[in-house]
Amino acid sequence: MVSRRNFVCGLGATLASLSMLDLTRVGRALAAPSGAPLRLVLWPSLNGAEPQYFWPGAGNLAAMSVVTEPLKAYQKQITFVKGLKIDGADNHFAVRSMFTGAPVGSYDTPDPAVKSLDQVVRDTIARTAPTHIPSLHLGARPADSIEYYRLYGRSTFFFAPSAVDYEANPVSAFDRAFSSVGGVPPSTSGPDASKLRNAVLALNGAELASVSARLSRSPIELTRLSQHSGALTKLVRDPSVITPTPVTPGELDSSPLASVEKLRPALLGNDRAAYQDALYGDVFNAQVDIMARALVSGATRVATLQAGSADGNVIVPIDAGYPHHNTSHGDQATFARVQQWYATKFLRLLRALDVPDPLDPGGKTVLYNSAIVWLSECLPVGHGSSDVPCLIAGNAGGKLSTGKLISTNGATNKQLLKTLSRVFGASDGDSAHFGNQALSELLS
Amino acid sequence: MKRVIPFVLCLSAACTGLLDNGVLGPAAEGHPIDGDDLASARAPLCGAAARDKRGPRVMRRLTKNEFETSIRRAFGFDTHIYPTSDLPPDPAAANGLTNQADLLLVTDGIAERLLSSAERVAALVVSEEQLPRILPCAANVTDECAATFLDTVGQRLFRRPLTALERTRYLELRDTVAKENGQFVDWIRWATVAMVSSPNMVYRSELGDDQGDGSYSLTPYERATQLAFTFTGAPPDDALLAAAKRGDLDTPAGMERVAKTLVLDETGKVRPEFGQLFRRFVSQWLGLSALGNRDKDLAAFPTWNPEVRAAMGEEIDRFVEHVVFEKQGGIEALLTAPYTLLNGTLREYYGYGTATGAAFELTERPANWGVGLLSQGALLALKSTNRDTSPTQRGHFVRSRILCYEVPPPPPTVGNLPPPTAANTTRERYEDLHAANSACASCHHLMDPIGFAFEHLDAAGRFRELDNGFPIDDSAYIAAVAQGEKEVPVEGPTELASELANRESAGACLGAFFASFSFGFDQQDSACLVSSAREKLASGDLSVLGYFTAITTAPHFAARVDE
Repeated sequence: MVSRRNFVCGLGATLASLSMLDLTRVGRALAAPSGAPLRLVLWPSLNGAEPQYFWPGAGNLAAMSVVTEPLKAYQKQITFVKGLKIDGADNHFAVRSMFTGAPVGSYDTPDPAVKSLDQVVRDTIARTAPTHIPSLHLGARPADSIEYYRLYGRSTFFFAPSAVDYEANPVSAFDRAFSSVGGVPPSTSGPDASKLRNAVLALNGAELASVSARLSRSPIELTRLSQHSGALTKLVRDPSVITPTPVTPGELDSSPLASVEKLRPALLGNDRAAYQDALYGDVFNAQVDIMARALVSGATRVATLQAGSADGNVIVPIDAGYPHHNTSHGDQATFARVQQWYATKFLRLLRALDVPDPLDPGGKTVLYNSAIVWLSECLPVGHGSSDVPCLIAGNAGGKLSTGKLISTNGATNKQLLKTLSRVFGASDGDSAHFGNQALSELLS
Repeated sequence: MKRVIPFVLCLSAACTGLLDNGVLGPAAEGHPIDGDDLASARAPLCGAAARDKRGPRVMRRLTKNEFETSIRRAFGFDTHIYPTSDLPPDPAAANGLTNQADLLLVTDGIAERLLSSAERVAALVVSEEQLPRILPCAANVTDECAATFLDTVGQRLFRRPLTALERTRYLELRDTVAKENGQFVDWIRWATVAMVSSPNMVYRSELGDDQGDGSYSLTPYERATQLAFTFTGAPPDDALLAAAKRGDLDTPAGMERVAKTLVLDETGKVRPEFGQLFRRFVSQWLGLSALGNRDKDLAAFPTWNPEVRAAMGEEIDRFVEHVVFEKQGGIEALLTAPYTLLNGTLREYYGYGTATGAAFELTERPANWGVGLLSQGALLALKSTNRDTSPTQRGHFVRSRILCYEVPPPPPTVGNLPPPTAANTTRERYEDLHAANSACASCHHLMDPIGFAFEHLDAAGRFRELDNGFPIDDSAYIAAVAQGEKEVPVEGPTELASELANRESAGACLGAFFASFSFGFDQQDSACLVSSAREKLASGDLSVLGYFTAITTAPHFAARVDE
């Protein structure tokens, strides 16, 4: 068995384009040149929660709230960000605005043409300390059926600027990220893979050109092939940028994850099965575990997890099961319990990250070196996108102040995105679409 | 292809209710239809200029399933050796089909995944376990062996022999590999990467040879490819490519003959490959994939369980296959067949029939349980909430999937219906909320009155005498939507089915959906590519199965025109 790391390292150059498991072929230092290597997690919390169930009482943060009660043990490492408004959007279609800051006026509004926060940070890290997986994008039943996996703007949250694909099958996600490739060892002493990959891309480009030459009177098809050609161009990389891969720390652990192996018989080669309601909790757990392993090892430093879709009706497995969106329109105490179930999954992630950071010589935990952003697109009853639930767990290496509730008095999500862009070292130019206002209250 | 405007303007700014629990929301893709297209969707006839027209040349990206099947075929892998690629699922278009050319693009992310998929395939190919089988001469390191690789694997992946220029490119790659101190096996690896990620593999070429008059005759290999993917969901095998080379596909009759051999075996039975493809089509046409997650309120339906749900999914598949394959039925039979197929689980659940055990057997429906496709338990349960029937969802389904009318999406402010009370029936609630509100009624009159016909069939697919303790009124009507059309009253699901079966638009609609599934354009754009065959399906002159193979005789199956 050959680890995914060895496989991807053997393959060569970093690929700058994106996808849900955006694997680089380069092995560079996994830690930043100096200081703690920060991790970013974006965690959309769909359909929100009514204020009385989400915000902790003033002066008694330790008690947390109905929804966040499972996170009580981590209260000191959590900041509640109250008063945020999703700028330029409301209702469920704000899912495409949450992390991009782009206005989305309706379901029919075209996708944002800007990068979401994860992609801004991902590109920043790729330039300075590239990781095996530039950004990891996972889903737990992120649409009501696999056919609707990208339909209607309900299950697309992250953009680069085109919609980022996500992996909803944890078995596929694990295998692509960590495990061997069909048990076949890659060539370790053969020719320079990156040069040959570029030769293949050039060959494919020439083939595209040959086909395009036959299509002078077919502008739609020419556009299709031009897009393909442009994508190939982005895959070509200068082999000289490759640096040796350190063996440790951060070598990928390809040992099985119990939560993934539990699902392997049902999900191997069967993406459709991952959309079964009956597996929701198990798929959610597995995706959290994959994310945690990738973050702890430093295989990636940017991850997202979308559980459910905007106004989707995944059955949340408490009591006899509650359809998520329909329940959000019903009794709000019940819906708060539904959202609390999601907090238990959030807790699973926090616990997994609450371990010494193998990449931090200072001995802090991965959680301390992370910013994990829980953000909702709207509120359940009125569907307005003002004062949406938001919290951040982790100190981002000491850059974020935690253990408090801050009132932003109507600040927008763009200010939050700007703040986090700066925390993660993105230039103001790269995050210009988030505006130029930050939330200084968040900083330590 | 037409790009037009919605035909119905709805005022529904504040209606209440969800379609398919929100799944059928506003469409980001798809092509709204105008009056002309509406007419063509409702009636099978296209205008004289559009009848059996040829569509544009297109490069159709393979679906995920087609890509993976192609890999397995080319290298002789089974699903254990090669379970999946890195490609993401194929997105559904507004019509529910997941093989639409407009959405199957090679974006940055897809290009990366094609490359990573190709590298994984290549790693398998050059493995000690696989290479001796795939290329027995590989140890010899000869030019002849390189040629053999291109002639066998290359032809299977490209679905045609490589051109001289292509052979030169791949042999030049061998020089490049050698310059990098690579061995023969390294060339095989990288040639595999290149061929698997090649546009000649990734796209189905439907470009044709220029005839000099703005038209293009598909090459024999392109015809073979189209036939194979249309009727087997897989690339052409060596035999079909040989048939193409012999000229067996040069005429419409020849293609139809081959199509029939791909659909039926020597004994007249449907081949498994076509059967599998047909199930995929039916599932997407009817939106059946959502059934697996459809649960019911156990307080209202205590005998509902996953076994019943799974059996309903099998029931509808077997029903359609019985009508289409075994009875060679047409659209009328599909809509009005007085039977279904039940196993012991469903006999017990529905409470009629004699089936026992796991085997499904043909079972006559009781008189008041409706007939045909639309009274299948799976559809009734799908087009309902977990507790209540949904006349809106049921009516919407008939409008959009049986009649091919495009109903505008609900407004974003739409919410749940208020919960039922003890004081009224489902029908009364819908009439109060939708019919009495002119803003809602502008759209809902297209759907709800059709859905009322099914009110005797409950949210879990069974007959009920009463609704909420009240007698049920299942009188219904199909609203007129075009000038000159009249509102047609019906009573109950059987009468509705008969009325729909008598409408040419039902057959025309099914024909358009299958054309869309075959050609990769939406059903409006596909409809006139097969006008003649659709007319025959709509009029009952062709069975469903006969229609499927008859589309090979349409000019579009053999030729294309400029956009």
